[in-house]
Amino acid sequence: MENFSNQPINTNELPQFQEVSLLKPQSKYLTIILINLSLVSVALIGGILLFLYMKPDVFSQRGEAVLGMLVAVFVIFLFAIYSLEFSKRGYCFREKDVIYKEGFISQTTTLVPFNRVQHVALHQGLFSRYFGLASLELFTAGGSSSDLKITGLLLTDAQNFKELIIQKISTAESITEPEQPTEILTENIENND
Amino acid sequence: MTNFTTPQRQSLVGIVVLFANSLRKFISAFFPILILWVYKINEIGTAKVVLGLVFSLLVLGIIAYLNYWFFTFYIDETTQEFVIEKGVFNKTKITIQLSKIQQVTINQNIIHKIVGVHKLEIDSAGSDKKEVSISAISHALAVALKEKLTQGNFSETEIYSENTLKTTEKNILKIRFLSLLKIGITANYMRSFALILLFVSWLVDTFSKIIDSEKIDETVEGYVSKLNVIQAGIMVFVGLILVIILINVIHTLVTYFNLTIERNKQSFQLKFGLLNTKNILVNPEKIQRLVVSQNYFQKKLDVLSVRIFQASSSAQAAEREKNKTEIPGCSETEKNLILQLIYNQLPEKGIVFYPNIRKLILSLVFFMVLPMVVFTVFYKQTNFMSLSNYGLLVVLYGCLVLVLQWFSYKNYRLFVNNNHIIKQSGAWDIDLEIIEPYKIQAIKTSQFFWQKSYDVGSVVLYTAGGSLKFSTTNFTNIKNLSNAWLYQIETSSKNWM
Repeated sequence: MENFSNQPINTNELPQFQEVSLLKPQSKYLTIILINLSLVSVALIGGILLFLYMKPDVFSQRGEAVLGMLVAVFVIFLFAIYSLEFSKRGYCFREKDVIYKEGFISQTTTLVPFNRVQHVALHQGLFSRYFGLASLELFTAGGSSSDLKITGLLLTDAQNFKELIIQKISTAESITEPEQPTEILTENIENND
Repeated sequence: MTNFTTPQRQSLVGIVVLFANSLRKFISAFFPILILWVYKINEIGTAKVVLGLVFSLLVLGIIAYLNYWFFTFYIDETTQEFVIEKGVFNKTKITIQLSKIQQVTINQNIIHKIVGVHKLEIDSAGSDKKEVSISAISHALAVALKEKLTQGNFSETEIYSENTLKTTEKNILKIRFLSLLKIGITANYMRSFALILLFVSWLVDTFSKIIDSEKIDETVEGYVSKLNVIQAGIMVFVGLILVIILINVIHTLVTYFNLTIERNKQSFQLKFGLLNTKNILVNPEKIQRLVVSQNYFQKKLDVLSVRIFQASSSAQAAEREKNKTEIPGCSETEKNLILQLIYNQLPEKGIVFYPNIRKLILSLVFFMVLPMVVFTVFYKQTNFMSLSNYGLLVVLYGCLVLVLQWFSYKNYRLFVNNNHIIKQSGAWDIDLEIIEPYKIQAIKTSQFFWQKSYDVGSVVLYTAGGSLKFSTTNFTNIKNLSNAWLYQIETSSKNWM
């Protein structure tokens, strides 16, 4: 067997990320998701109808009925999956890191420590602006798949969280890397607001 | 010694290098036209084609000369800057502050070697890549310039070398020719496998016609010809393997010829290559991920290869590949020396974590059962071969997958201690992936909904040099480990890059 004498850390005494109660994104954001989905569905159905109109001989009457059923099932399935998935989302800003949980089939929890965040971006789409929502994106050096995007925040919350993270990054940086200029960061803030 | 304050040109014979460079660019740009010329040589007329080629070469020669003439470099003493001016019509002036120069490398490719000149590249803090380079310069001048350019940083580095006085005596590690030979014979089967497939499919294609025409004879001659076909097949197969090994050996020997690792003040330098001499500087602090791989044969021969992944600014996979440095042909002791150099200690294998048996089952379903079902359905539809042959094929495939998956499951484990996370994986080539907890950028844990009741899940650790994934293992352990790693990251004041 491997040598077990090298017991390093007592993990039970550490703060447990899995026991933190997570905040839910704004339920208004589900409306945005459903609006987007509706647009996609309309485009899909419209495309199929156009195709059937242009080439009426491809499918028989029965074939068309089956196709219609399939599309309907697919669209309903999409709506169901997205609604369910939305209910699983949750986030929490802790003192030193951020936790974000998402996914229905595969539930993933992303943990990003603030002292590894490169920069922060605040996004606001067309519908989000109408509902007063925004999303926050944290970039790390770990590549695009480790970047974290938290959607469905109230704009004011998102701005506060962003300020908080930026403050954390700059204090962390002033301790560890005094030479590192924080200009890139401030530039980014201006760009996104 | 040499005066760099007045603008000067590259070495005159360097025109050859410039010419070769523009020739290469020309060929790659006008490749289709050139092919067309050669193809239609009879139609256009040999004289015209030759004339056209000569004219093109002449133009290229003139361009090379002009490029040479208008390329000057000097050190501006008053502003403490290194200046390069170039361009025939579009003038470019590049200035770099001497204090910002991080690294100066002197390289040589085959054309440089023939002509006897060197290429000097300057790495500065401002730019990501080596965008400032002098393509042809004599060795003496290159060394003098390097000395001059790095002088600005001398005060800094001197302090450093005083701190680590005991290590300043030059540590030189040389990879022996024999080790390279061994690694060339035993490594990169997978890369070669694609080549084999390509080659075999071509062979099958060409030979199927011949076999088709001989089918009538087969019934007459009975199994004699069949035996010949099998013999020929085996010979072709063996020959193919030999060819692939030969290619591998030559490739490894040529690329990594005379590989030396030289310890500098705070970094180490790799030098290798027979035709193209490469010179790579590696900063241990910047190393994010390290992979040691060795297969069964290599273990017996005491060789292995080490791959080093440095931080890459870009998330692109191609960029990441560029930041990979390979050290093939190390022996166990040499590997330990390198690890010692990088980590200041040998990474120890700490507490061990194993995958759940479901990992094996899942991969068997995906790689064995699923393909078999698909192919059987396909077979039922087409009946492309006899049932006995198909059965044999299925059994062979099943055994192969079973063995491979079993070994990759058996080898799959994660070792964790305070300073290092080591993942072991692979069926034939066994990889040891090493990362340091404080270099983790983000952690992602994931669990499929059906895994919840079994308490099984996966984790991905992202570093700036690629990610490490450990899947289908006890999820409670993963959560505890993640908490511990978060604690380590958040309390660490060490610079991760």
